[in-house]
Amino acid sequence: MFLTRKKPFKNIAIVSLFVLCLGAAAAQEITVPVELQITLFKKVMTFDRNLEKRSGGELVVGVLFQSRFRRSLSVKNEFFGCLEKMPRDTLGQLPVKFEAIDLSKTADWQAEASARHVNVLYLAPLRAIDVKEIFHVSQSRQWVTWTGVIEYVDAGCSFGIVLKGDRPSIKINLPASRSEGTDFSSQLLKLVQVVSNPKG
Amino acid sequence: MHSAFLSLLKIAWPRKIKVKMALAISLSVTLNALFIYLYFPHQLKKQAVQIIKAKANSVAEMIAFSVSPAVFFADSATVEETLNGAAQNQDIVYIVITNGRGRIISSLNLREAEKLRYREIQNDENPFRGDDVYRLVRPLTLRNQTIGQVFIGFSIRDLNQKIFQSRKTVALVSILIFLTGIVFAMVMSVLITGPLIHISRAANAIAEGELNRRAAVQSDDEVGHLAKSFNIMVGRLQSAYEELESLNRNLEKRVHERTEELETEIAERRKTESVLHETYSQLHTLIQAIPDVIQFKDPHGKIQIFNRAFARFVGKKPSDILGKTDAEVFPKEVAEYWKTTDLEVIAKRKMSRPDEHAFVLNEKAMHFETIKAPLFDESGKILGLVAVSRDITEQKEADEERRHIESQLLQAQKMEAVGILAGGIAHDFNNLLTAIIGGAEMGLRNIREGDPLYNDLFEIQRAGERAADLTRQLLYFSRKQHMQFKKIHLNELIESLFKMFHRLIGEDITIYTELSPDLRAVKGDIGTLEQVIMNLAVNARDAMPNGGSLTLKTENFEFKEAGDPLFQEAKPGEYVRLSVTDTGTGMDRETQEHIFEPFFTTKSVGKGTGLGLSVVYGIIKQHGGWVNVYSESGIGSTFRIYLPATFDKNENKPVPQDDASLLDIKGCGERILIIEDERRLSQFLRRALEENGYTVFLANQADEAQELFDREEGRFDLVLSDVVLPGKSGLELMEAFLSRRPDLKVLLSSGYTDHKNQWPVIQEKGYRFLQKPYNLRELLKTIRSTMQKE
Repeated sequence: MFLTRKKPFKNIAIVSLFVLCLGAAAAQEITVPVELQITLFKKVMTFDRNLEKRSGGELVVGVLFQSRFRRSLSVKNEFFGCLEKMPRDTLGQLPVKFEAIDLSKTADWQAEASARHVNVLYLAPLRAIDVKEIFHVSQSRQWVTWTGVIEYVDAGCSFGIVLKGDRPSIKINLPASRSEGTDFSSQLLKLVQVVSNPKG
Repeated sequence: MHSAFLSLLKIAWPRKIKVKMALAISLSVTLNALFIYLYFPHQLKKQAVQIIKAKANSVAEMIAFSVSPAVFFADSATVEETLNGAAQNQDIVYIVITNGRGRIISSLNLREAEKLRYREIQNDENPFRGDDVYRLVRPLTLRNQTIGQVFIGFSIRDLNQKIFQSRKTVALVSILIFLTGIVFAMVMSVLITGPLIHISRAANAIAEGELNRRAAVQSDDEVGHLAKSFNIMVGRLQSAYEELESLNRNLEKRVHERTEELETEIAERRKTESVLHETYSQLHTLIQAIPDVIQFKDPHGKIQIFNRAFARFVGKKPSDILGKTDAEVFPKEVAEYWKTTDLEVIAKRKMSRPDEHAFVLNEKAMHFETIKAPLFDESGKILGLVAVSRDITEQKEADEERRHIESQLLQAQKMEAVGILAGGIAHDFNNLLTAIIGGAEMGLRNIREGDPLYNDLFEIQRAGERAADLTRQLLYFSRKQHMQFKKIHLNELIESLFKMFHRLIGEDITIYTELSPDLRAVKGDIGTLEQVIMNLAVNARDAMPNGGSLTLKTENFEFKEAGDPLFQEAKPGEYVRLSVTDTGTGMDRETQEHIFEPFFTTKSVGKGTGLGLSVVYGIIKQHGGWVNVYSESGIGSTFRIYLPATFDKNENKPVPQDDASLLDIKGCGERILIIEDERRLSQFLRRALEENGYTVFLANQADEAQELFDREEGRFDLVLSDVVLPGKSGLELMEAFLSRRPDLKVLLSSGYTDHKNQWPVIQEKGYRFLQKPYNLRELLKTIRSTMQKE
């Protein structure tokens, strides 16, 4: 979809941009263990009053990653490895299911996500991808996004599980989350780091 | 008002114990019931309110905790949930939530809240306003930021109803306690006071004299014990009363006896007081009359008692002395002396010895003898000090005078002793000198002038004469020589004394003479006048210890008018004036006034008799003259002696020389009895008279002379006898001889110059007298003249 054989200069430009983005992606580090991210994700989601209305009987978490980006792949593998060790997941009475979506192999990740009835997206470290595009989609589709990369929260992700100092912390981008249709309880907001005016 | 209330209380105050007990118990019960009624509901309400407040605060905190983040994050759902949850609480009347600007965000029963004016909450201490609602407000905060308020009203209606119910219950219980207590009090008072009334009645009967009455013992409790004790006490009281009556009777008797004794004692005491008063008066009069100075000082040194002599002594009025100290009464020096001696006596705590001291008071020197004694009380504490001072000024002066007189007497006695000594020596000297001079003279008559022995004998004669002269001077000096007035030329007298002047005065004093050649003669005793001149010369010498000059001047002097102050003692007439002038220390006016007083001397002790000038004065007075002195200190003195000039026919005629030849005075075999105990002299007399024609009979003693006189039957032409003889005086012997031969010629001789020569008797009897020593010529002349005497 991005690279075509008919336009070599365009391809060169894209490669160059990729190389540049590679450098930028190297800074997108996941600092909190994935297992802890999953546990906290479940806690956060219990404070969303619109969870049941949006989920339609099942909460499907789509894990966006890039198999060609080792770090991203590693996170995805670690993610699913942790899920295997965990008991069958439910959120209250709501069942939870996780679906991996490889952006390196999928041309239309939206379609794939819709096909899988995804209503929550997890963003692993990504490279050479405009994450705002993803957030634009998630907001339009009322998909709640979350991540372990703190820069993504500032860019428009609903919330992230990040390190604050040497302790794990929840950082919520309140406008973004409300745009994605969440209604987080103020009891949660009182406890977490809230971004009211994101930088991105 | 207050006093009226007290009076009313006094009147209304019950007098009976049972009423008092009933009142006391009733009051106690009432107070307890009132306390229960008031205290317990109050405590109940207090505890309930605290519970309600705690509950309300807890709820408010919970709501504020829940609502705060919801308000912050505009979580209206949470707010609603919270309010709905709170609405389940029946006690919550309203809840109003406002934001930071006071705008209402959400509420529960807002109308009720506004009706109850939920915003008017001043503080948490006064949350109730009588409408059964407890109001409170809590701030909404998040992250240290106030974001609003929550107002909550809590209903306390149930609580008030419960309290009211409790109060009713307590009131009912209190009334029951009160009524029960009243009944109990009345019963108890009757039970307790009944026996006491019995005891009281018994006590009243006993008080009225019914000592046999006893109280009834109705119980075994404290009152019963009281009744028993009361009865025991009454029994003892009855015994004591009877004993007291007995004692009273004895006491009256003793009082009567003691009264009589006291009356006797009082009479004796009055008598003693009278005696004391009389004694005091006598002592006071005695103290006042005592001429000695008496004073008593207290421990502070203030004069408390003194007599008139003391007041006279200090020269002040009694009022100016009493209570004053020595420093206020005496001059500083006297006060210091008194103070010093006072302190000594107080320190020694015993009477002082008589202390003599001198003061100058009122410009008069006074001598006092003072005795001081401290006074003590029974405990030995010093009460003061008594000082008795005696004015011994006159005594001191008398003592001084006595010592002076004693000194004079001693001096006189010394002079007398010297006189006696001089007289005694003179007697022996005169005897010896008579023999020496006479012997030499006889020798000279027997040899020629060219003979080698002539000069020797002549010198012996001259030396004897000088020795005789010295002896005479010595006798004059000691005034043992009797006066024989005769015509004298003072110039000759001075010249004759000139040698002695040098011997007496010394070589450091130059002697000048200014002798008037036409000087008249005077009538006087040559010996005493010599003494006058000698005394004046010696006096001048003593006035010139470092040498000087002495001038003797003679001149005629005519005194015409009496009354001259310089010559008060003079009578008009012709006088011879002898002036003796020295260049010595001179005398002041006061000394000049006293120099002629006996024993007055300015010389140091042992250097003068004090008689010299007084002898001069006396001798000159005896000669009818006078003496005066002119002197200036540091210049010298001049003594002037005035002697009456004699107008004898022989005046100015040369004194006839004793040119009688020995042939004229020789004897012609006349018989002379010589009585002389000095053998050398008697041998001289025998030889001298025999060689000059007399027949000599010699006796050395009176007895021997008597035998000789008896043997010769008194056939003597003359008896020459010494006055002083062993065993019998020459006078007695002469008396005996004359009684047998009244025409017997008698010549007495003596070397004594004092009373032993019995000069007055000799003069009285008219005997001829020859003073030893004498030379041959004088002897022969006197014998011849005595024989020729009618």
